[in-house]
Amino acid sequence: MKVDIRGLIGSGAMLLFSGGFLLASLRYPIGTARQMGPAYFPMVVAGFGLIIAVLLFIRAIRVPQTGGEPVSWRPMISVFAAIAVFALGLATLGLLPAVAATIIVSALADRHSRPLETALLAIGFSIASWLIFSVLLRLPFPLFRMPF
Amino acid sequence: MDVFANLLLGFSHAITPGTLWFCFVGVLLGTFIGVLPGIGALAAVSMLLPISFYLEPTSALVMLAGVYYGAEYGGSTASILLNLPGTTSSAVTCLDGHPLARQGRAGVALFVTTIASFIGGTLGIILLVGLAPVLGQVALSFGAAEYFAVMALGLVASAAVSQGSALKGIAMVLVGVLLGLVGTDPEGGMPRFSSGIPEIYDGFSLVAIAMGLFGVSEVIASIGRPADMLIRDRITLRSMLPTRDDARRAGLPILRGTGIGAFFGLLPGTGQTIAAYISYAVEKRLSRTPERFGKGAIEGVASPEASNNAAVQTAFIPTLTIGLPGSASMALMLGAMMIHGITPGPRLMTDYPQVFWGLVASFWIGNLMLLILNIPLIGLWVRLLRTPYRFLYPAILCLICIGVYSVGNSVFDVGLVLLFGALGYGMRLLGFEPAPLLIGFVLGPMMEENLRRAMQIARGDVLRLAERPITATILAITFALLVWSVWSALRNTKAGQEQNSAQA
Repeated sequence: MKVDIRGLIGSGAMLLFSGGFLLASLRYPIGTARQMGPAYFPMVVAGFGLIIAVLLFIRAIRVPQTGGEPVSWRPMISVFAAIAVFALGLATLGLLPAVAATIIVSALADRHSRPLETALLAIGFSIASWLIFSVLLRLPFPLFRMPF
Repeated sequence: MDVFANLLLGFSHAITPGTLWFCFVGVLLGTFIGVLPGIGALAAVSMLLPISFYLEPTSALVMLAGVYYGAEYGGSTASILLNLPGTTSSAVTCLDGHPLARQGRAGVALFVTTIASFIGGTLGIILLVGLAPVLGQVALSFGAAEYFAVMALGLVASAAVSQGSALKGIAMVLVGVLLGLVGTDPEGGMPRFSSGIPEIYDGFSLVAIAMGLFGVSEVIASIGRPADMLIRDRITLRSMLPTRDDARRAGLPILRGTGIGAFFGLLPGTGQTIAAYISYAVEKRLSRTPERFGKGAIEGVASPEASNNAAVQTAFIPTLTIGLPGSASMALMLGAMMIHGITPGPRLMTDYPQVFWGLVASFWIGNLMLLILNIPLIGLWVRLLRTPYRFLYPAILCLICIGVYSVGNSVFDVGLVLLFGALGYGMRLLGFEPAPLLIGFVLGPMMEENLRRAMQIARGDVLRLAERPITATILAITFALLVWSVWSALRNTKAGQEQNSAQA
């Protein structure tokens, strides 16, 4: 028997998400249909969400579907790490180091990347982003910053 | 005649050096992004949204709109040369465009798609000029109940036609609406669902959501995908010229494609992708030699490209005149307008005629620029496609991060991109479409506001909401569509299986 794992995960996530909003909206005044409070509309929407979650569950059981896109672990992890590195780098070191670090970490996603190419790309794009965003568009970025 | 006075006003605002420049920047960047496989118009518009905050509203909108329809032109280039769609709506162009390239006729395919795009776009704009004032008049009589009904219809329609199952589409709309409600309640001023985090008292950043859902997850999915570049030689102007036979074959399909595209662009929920698929199917059905399709039939590239460009232009009609975005990209445009303090709707045309008609005039100027960008300068884009993706995506990722940060100088928003990127990639793996989510996110708060106002007027009686025949009709259609799509999602197991294998 086929088990539709992705379908079950999808309906479960929907259940948690809608249920979470329903519980959270209990903390706010509901009001009446004529004078709706801040919780009224979110509660109705979250309620629909719960119904859809149940229907998704039924569908996953009745019409199990298999296949779908395989998870690309390596690109996924390095792209997320690259964004995190950008956020941390910008907060501590400034724009240029953050851009260079983001390029290097994200280049790890592709197994064909070569170290020298990546280094050149990191330097080149740091300079380009300084020219575009700071010089040309005059956006207020901290270019370099002392961490301590 | 009013139309001519309006157009004159529009062109007088569009043909200023500043506006022309931003129109050019928009269509250039749009073509660039469209040519690159993996990132589409949505990611492109959201990447430029932050920069547009520093411009005055008309220039900003002209540029963003240019990115949007420019991507539609560029999208077919990658479809033909790489067999990888540059944008989702040009996926169908692969079917006959790539075989044409294999036969050494890539130049002809590129030329015909550009001409078809231009004709489709131009006729779409003419329709926009004619229909917008009419629809604007109708929308002027809309009250809160009508707005609520129209928005509900838009949301249900976008869910019903989303690729994959309609149930999943509805789920995404609801998730989007709930995410849109996070932040301060517009009526009481009470912060909702913000768990005490001050950064989201104003709600989630639209840019962060759009970039995470569309940009980041598309980049992840495109890394390491093999490309099959066919063209070794330069594409000369001579090789682009179609034969007399090609021109004869492409003529009528372009017009039919335009008609189909213009219709689907107008409808809420459907958009250029569906329009392109349907016009391909129609051409194949009408053809006396359907066996040529899939093996390099020129009709198979001409009709869908005319169709998606016509749809792109007519999609602006409901967005600008009612304030109802039919697609995720239009929802993003609507969000951009509101950030600039312009509320799309029937008042836009009367209160800011120079913005409205200037924007419409810039569309046509932009289409003219695209004609030049895509025929004499095609070699530039071919060279861009030869650049390995591993050089491009780190830069795209950096631009996403810098863009999001620059909206509010907030590192928190970069973190949100990470969060929504994870959500977007997870959704992709589970077969959920991000487009209905974004539409729900933009429309959700507006729907709540209109429902509250309408219910006050109706004194809390749901049935009195549907007192006016127009509201009752729209709500009835919405309800029927909802029931039908849920029913068919649960019943029609066979279609479900097919959709599943089509997605895989």
